[in-house]
Amino acid sequence: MTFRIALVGNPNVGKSSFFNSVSGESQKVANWPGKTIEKRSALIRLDGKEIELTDLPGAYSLAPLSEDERIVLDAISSKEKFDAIIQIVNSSNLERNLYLTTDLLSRGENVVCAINFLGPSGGQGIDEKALGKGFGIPFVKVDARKKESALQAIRLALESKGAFRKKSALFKRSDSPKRRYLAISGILKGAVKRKATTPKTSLDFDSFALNPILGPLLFLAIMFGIFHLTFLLSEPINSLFDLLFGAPAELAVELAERAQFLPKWFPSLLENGILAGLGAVISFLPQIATMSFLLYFLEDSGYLARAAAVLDSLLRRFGLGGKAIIPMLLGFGCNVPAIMGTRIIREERAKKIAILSIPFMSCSARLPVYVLFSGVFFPGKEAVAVFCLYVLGFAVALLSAYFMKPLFSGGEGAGEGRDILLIELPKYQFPYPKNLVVDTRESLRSFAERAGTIILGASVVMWFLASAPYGVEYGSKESLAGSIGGIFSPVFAPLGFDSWHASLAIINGMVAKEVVISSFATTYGTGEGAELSRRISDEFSPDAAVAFMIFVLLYIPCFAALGAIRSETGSWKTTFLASIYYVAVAYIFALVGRFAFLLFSGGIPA
Amino acid sequence: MKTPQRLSDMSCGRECVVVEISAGRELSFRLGELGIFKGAKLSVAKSIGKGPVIVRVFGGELAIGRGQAEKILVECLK
Repeated sequence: MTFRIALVGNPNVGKSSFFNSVSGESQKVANWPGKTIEKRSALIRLDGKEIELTDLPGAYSLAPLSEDERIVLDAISSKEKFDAIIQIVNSSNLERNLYLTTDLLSRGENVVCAINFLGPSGGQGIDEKALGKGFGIPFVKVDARKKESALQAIRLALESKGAFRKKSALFKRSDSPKRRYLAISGILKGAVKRKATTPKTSLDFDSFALNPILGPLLFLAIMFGIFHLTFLLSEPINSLFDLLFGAPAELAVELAERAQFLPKWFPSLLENGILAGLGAVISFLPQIATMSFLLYFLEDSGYLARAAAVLDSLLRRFGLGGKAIIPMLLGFGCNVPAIMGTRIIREERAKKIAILSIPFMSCSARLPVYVLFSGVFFPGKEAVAVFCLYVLGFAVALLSAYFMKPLFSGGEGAGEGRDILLIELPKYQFPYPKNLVVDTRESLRSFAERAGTIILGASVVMWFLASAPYGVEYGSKESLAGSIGGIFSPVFAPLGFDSWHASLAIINGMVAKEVVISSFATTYGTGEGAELSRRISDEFSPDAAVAFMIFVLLYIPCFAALGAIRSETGSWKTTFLASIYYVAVAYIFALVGRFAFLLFSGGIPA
Repeated sequence: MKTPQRLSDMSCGRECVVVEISAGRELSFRLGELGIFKGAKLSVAKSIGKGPVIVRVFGGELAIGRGQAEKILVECLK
């Protein structure tokens, strides 16, 4: 029998550290059924027993206010009960953490509490025996980063064997929050001796981070820093990448050409389709890895909650009520979970506006396009260019929300749920590197998965279109790809890019934005690297490149995001109208952007 | 006799006790879960312009929107 343990805890208490140190390499990542939120679990063996450890998302209580908390509640109240629950509590913030414990106990869960973050004091002054007596469950001090220490909590959970699964006499589900807090305070009084310390640094930094004027500026500065670092750090990895994969790829093509038993078209498929298309996208892995690493760093440090708090009042002015900021920031990673994250917005109208605005937030799949184009046209200023695009996307999202406000009737004044802002500010901390590495690896894995499925598929289709009909020169205007792209290219002529390659790339980009690059690489037949850059610089003028990047930023994000819009709004009509809207907005901004660029760089072409 | 003031009007560094929450059931419950209920002690860590009020309560820090802070009446302890 596998012993099933769930890991719960408030956000930023060291839950991931605990999970990572205990599970090591045996982690399995999937999604929660019907959700895009990750579910991490691991099978571990300890003292001859098999244990399945599931890491639940961070939660402050079981009254679900966020999508994460809803998952925790669903997981805990599902039919397949966990044999035990280990709650990680933060030693410096016991009262707030133990509130969740009272919620778990009132549901009759078998809970073991692991006190983490003992800090330099080593948890002195916390009497875990007294805590255990007070709550009627085992408490243990652990250092979540150390495997042996973390395993202690698992052992305790194993020993408990459900002994604590009885309706706690202490806490009932009907108890008011006040009653619970008073009970917690009562127990803590006898179990914890320590002076009330105020983390001075946190407060001082917050004078900037939470200042209504300086805060948003600081946020912009930090984001800019992230883009800058992304380019700075990924450059050496990039060269290494070329070295590692360039030669073997060429060798593979050569071997395929020599192999008599393979069909004649195969080397071309391998070189122009698979290697060119896939390689073009994969070559941006270093940038994607660096950026996700830095964004995770920001999240784990506790800063992101501050950014959300300080940007909230800005967003509100644009009609994006209350909690929209968190899903919007999630949109920088991927629009799909961001759109699903709007479920936490109770008010229908605000939710709809948020859903429709999120696709303007630049997701990581759009990054390769910016990297390639700004590298070709604005060398040395890539970070500035990428930063401007991200800010433009954010600004368009806000403007779009503002103008959409009057479009959706009803919902005005729908009670106080409309614009509630209540955000917990976790203590600042230096992120634990191992967690960052695990998270980054995870985002790379999901990227690789897309590369192996959608992008590979699209590349092969693209190769076929560029080769057919039989006998035509590869990637020429006469090919199927050329004629399809050619139909649309007049539409894009005012934006400065009227080659069929560009039109086709844009059409393909609706499948997934990474495909934009692989489409160029396959239809040019160049693969990634210098050759692709040369073709791009030949075919685009700088102003057309600006227009192209803006268009890619703003038009239909991808089919998956449209699917998410459909399922969250429940309306095909809305989804359809939204798609047209995105294309129109993209077109207008690309046009304006192109001429603005021409105006500033001097000289409008005749 | 002290008169209750709105939390949104409190200046930084003040310690106070909640005397009244004039909010509906849902907001009251949520505030309660975060440790803000009648009789709870809190201190104002930051309150700037139109931004959120940052309070320290039960050892944690919390950003409360101005609109919600207006609904919380407090009395100063000192």
